[in-house]
Amino acid sequence: MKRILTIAVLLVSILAFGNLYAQYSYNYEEMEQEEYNALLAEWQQRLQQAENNINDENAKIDALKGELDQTQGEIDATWEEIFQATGKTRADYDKYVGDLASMKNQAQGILSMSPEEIYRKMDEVDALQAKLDEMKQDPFAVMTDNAAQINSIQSLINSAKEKGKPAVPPTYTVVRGDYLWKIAAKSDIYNDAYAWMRIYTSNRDQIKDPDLIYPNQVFNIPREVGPNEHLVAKGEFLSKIAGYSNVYGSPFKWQKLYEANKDVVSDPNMIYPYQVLKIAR
Amino acid sequence: MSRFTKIVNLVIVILFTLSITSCGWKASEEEIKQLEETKSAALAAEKTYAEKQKEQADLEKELKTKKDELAKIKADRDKVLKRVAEIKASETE
Repeated sequence: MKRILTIAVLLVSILAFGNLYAQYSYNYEEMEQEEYNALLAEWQQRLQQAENNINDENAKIDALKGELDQTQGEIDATWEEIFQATGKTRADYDKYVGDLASMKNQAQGILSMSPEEIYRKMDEVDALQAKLDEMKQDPFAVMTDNAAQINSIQSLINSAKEKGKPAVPPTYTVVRGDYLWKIAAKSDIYNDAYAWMRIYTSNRDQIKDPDLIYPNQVFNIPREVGPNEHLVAKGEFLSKIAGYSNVYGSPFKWQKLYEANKDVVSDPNMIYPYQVLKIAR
Repeated sequence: MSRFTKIVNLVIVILFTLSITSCGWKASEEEIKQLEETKSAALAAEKTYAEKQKEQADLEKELKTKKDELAKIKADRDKVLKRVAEIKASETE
């Protein structure tokens, strides 16, 4: 028993001794004085060097911060010059930039549509172009970022206009033996003989009499109705069409519709499916 | 055993005792503490220095960006002033 106790005391002592020295990085038990002195001198030198370096860095950092503040001050002053020259404020500038960003989104949205949808929304494209033309007149328009944004929007609008052109075939060239009924019935035209009225009303400038067409005449074959047009469907009459919200929103304005289409509507009580009526704004 | 032999034996015993008890130098607690503290302080200072170097590099990058921004806004200012002058000239015509 006494022997076990002695061994245990011995083990605990060894562990305690080991822990005491474990917290140190060196084995001090076997270290000689020269080695100790060399290590101490090395660490003191490293400490001194690091402290000197920190002081140098602090000086550089302070100088950089000073230069940064000065540069920021110059930037702010330059902006002030711009605002004074234009008679506008930072809020006006932010609004201008925000408007350009939303116009770009709108142009991208239009461009992502199908050609037929773009064609139907050509009014929207024109309005966007008008707004962009107005934005181009602003003195902010010449600034680098804004000029790039304006070019980008212009390019999107141009692409949308191109994409919105009526789908293939946009035209048809009359050959000997053709008549409107026959052309409309062709599978690559309307595949519906009754749609001859659409060819007639869409080419009023060339067709005086629907029974008289000539070889080599080139007719437009619209695939979609334009933004200021209405394609008459079966069962429609002028006051009904005038009442549509996208036309005049009031059936009582049928006369306005009639006046705009007198060249193809001889009797206001007689309109035909596939007629394309102009909507005068 | 002769007296000489006794003396020699005694010297041998003394030398042996000295050698096994290692009468050489050994670091005191205070010396150990000094070395350990110096080492910790040096390592901490070196770490701080590295952080300061990074801060300096970040500031240099930020300053370059700001200087580019300044050059750009100055060029823009010149364009805007020119445009404003053109607008005023066209209004007076």
